[in-house]
Amino acid sequence: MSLIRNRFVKICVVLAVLGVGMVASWAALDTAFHATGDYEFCTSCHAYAPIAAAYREDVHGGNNEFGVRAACNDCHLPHDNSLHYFWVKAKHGVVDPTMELLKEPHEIDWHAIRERREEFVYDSSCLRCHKYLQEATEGNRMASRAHRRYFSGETDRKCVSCHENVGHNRLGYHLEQMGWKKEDSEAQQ
Amino acid sequence: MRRSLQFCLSLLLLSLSSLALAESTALSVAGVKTLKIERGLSAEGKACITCHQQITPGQVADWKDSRHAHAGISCIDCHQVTEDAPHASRHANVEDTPVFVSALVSPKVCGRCHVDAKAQFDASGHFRAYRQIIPKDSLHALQVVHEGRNHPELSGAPGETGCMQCHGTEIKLDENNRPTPETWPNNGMGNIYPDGSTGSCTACHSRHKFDIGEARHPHACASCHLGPDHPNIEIFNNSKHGHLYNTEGDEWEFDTAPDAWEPGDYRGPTCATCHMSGIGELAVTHNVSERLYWNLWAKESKVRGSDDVLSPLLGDGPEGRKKMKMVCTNCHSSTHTNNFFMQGDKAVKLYNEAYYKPATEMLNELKEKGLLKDNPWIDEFQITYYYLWHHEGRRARQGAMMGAADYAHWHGFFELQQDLYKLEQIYQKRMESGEIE
Repeated sequence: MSLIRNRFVKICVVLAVLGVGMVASWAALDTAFHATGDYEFCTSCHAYAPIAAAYREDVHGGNNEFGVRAACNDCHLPHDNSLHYFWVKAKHGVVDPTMELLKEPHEIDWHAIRERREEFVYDSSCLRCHKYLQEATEGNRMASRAHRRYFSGETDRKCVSCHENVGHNRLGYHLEQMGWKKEDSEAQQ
Repeated sequence: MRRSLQFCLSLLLLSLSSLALAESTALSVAGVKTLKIERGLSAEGKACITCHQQITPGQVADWKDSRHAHAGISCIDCHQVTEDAPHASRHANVEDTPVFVSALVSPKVCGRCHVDAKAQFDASGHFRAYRQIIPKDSLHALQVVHEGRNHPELSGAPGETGCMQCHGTEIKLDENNRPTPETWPNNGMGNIYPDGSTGSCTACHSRHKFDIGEARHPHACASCHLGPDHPNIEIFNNSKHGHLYNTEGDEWEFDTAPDAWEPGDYRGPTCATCHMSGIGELAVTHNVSERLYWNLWAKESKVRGSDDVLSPLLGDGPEGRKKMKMVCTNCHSSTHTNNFFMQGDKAVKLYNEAYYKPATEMLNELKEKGLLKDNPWIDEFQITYYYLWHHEGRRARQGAMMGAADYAHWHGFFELQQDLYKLEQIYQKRMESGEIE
């Protein structure tokens, strides 16, 4: 009676292969997501030059005394559940490079897109790092008033409704410097 | 020995007392009291206060007496703007900092914290104060051509010193991103700011104290709601509510917390009590149109019923009446309340039917027959028609609806009948002769 004929052994082998496969595919995906979700990769597109410049100057872009930074993925993908995360990642993976290929960088109206920031910065992402924000800002005279409304569900505002330029503080300046003029944006609208 | 000791002692006392004197003189010489405030303010934020208490002590004196100061909100929290804001400018002395500021603090800035107040204001008739006059050509002609005499350089003066100061304007910027003298300063209710937001919180809550009690006093409203065409403060003074306020208002409580300001704090209402405040079951609102039934300022009074913030009929008339009655019943019986509105409504309907309608029919007929002058301001018929609805007609309607007998009658219906007789005479003369006198 050879081992190969043994049903139990067969099942074990299949399960082991499956398990290894799953781990391998998770590792591949995770590596791919992170490799394509950070400053170096995302800003390799021309249209992202001003966004990159503003990011690198910002506290969230690593301009802080510890050198910690939030990657693009950390803010611009939702962190409420993995399928949502996967879906948005895939969508951006298709749409963003396509736009980069189809459009001249200056055809992309960043000024108008900034106004829609609530659609592509996710509270679930902010709160993944700022996990204890509610407790942490209770003693802050100015923040507590706004955060109390937020955490008690009295407002439908998102984090970036109030924190307008977070992550890319001087983006307006860099857009103007690199040729994305606000007047052109307003004229188009 | 004893004598020399005495001498030494008195010398010591003398020197001590002169030292004390010098010290007290030094204190009194430092006439400007130096405010030193920590409370979590940034270095730049503290710098504003340090300098401005010397340069513009009035501003800092207002501020330190305000609720903003209590809450740790200082100059920089409202005056700092982003580098790419249209009105961003560099403040002299701090050009080496990353700070950009503007003298212009828009409703969008106030709305960052006062979220509900801004949303309610944006849905109110006050929002329209400037926007509604943008398309009115006849009004621009009145300001520039007639009042401004079409003067090549000075024709803007009547609009800039008059209309704009209450209605507001679109604030324009010079090459340094500072507001132009044609558009600033003003406290007009409907200002359009360079950041696109509309309104003027300081119209009622004057800077830099932004006081809730101030806006609850009728004086806040009276700085615009006065005069021959909408004498609302005069109407208030004429009313029993004004009688109470003028008698003992200085003893009432005006800075109770929002939504908690109730009878007891006062013995009679002010403008704010009825039109805005949280009283009884009603919640506080910055939408001044919310408790209204009629439009009482248009040529013809119609019942409100529109969601369009730019419509003169903005609001929900029946719902507004219901809410206003809820205000009244905090002090009055239902009979008193219902009868009061029946009296007022009757006056408004009389104006509509017996004055507006016949006067407008005559106007339209004369227009059709070419019997009106091109320049309305030299045409006795058109001038009288204007007074009929814009001055006398409003006084009658608003006087009646806010309990002001003298304005309903002597400044209202008495003048209205005189206007109408005059219109009828001119109309008959022109129709019979076929020409303008």
